[in-house]
Amino acid sequence: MKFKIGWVILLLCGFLICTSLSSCKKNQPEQIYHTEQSDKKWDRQRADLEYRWIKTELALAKSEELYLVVDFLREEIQLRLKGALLWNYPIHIVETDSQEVREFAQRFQGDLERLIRPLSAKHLFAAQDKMPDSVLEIVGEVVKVDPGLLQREVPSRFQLLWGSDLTLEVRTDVVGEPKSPLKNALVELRHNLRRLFGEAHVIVKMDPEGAITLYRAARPGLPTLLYPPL
Amino acid sequence: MKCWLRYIIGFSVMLFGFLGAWLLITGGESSFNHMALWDNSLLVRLPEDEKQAKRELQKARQALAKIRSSAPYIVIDTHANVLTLRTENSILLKATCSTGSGGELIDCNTGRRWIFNTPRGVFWVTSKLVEPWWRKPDWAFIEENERIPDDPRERLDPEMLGEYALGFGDDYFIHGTIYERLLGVNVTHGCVRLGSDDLKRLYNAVPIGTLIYIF
Repeated sequence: MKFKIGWVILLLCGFLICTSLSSCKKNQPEQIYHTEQSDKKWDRQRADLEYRWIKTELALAKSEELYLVVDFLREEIQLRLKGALLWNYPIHIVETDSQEVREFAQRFQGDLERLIRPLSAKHLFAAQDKMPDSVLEIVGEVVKVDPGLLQREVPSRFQLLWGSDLTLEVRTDVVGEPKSPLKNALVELRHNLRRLFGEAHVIVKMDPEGAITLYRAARPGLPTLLYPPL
Repeated sequence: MKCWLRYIIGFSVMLFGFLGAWLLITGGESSFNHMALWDNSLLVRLPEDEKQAKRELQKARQALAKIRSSAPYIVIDTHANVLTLRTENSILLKATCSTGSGGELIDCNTGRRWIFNTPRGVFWVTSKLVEPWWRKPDWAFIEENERIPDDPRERLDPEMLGEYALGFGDDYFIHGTIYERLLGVNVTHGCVRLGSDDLKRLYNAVPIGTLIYIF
């Protein structure tokens, strides 16, 4: 009986080893095939685009200027200097479908398939003071600084614009005071009119700290590099 | 009113109406894009030959990898007053700091002027000090309406900079503070202040030569 059980176990082990070996043999040529295929498959268009991205970023990294990267591939907004990543934030798109993102990327690139554009304007709709003025009065006296310089606005909603038909709107959970109700109304009206002629408008959500950094670092003229969605 | 005058007025009203609408829609932004003039990406193309193109692409990828530093570097965000020690893919330390106020001080007697900004750009850690003493510059006395001392020893302050200091740029430091409650507010004269625990961690984590990016 013992002899029989031993044989059964031995046979089972042999069977398992054989199956695993055969599956390995099956996998190996398949892996090689995939690698060979990916090597052979030279996507000229894709390679050209990647090359242009890299060359553009290398050119930006040569300058002393900060640049913004809107990366729809990794779904991130980044601030870079000399190629180094200084700040990044995931793009949480709200109230917009993927079509709007594609529209944004297409308009950004235009007929010339441009990868960089300068930021043309920004508009702060509403913001909240980071610290009460009364506290900053005391702090200002201690550190001998004008309290007005110490105040930071935490944006609750702002827009970044590239040209007349591309808008990235950032919203936070902060409940802020409107900066200028009249100007806000004019900007809204302008957007509604632009929509008639075609405008890409992507809305993203951010936490207050991220919004402060992006709002304050984004100044008109800021070079912006786009990585469009696949 | 004469008929031709009516036409001129009507035409002018129409013209201003169109101009106003155009300004409202475009916000006065010109469609001319100056960046297109130096937009490299419009001109760059891979060579036609596939082998050569692959080689070029590989070279470009390597060049990009080179500018993405693999060693940890310090980033100082003067907008949100946050210091991070990070790599391309991960954050090793994130701390609230205080950076320059942007305030201005003018010495009424000599007319000398100081603007208290934290410098922006790329720097590196030039020195690492334990128990640093602050050698008070002239502005520190002028700000307090005190006489500038002749004896250099009267300028020394052993408390102000905390336990450690990391030097960078033109006599700037990342150092500690006795005003930890003010961390997160732009109150400094250009240096970067950190809380004592974060300062100790940063001091122990970075060697001299570590890159500092300030924006």
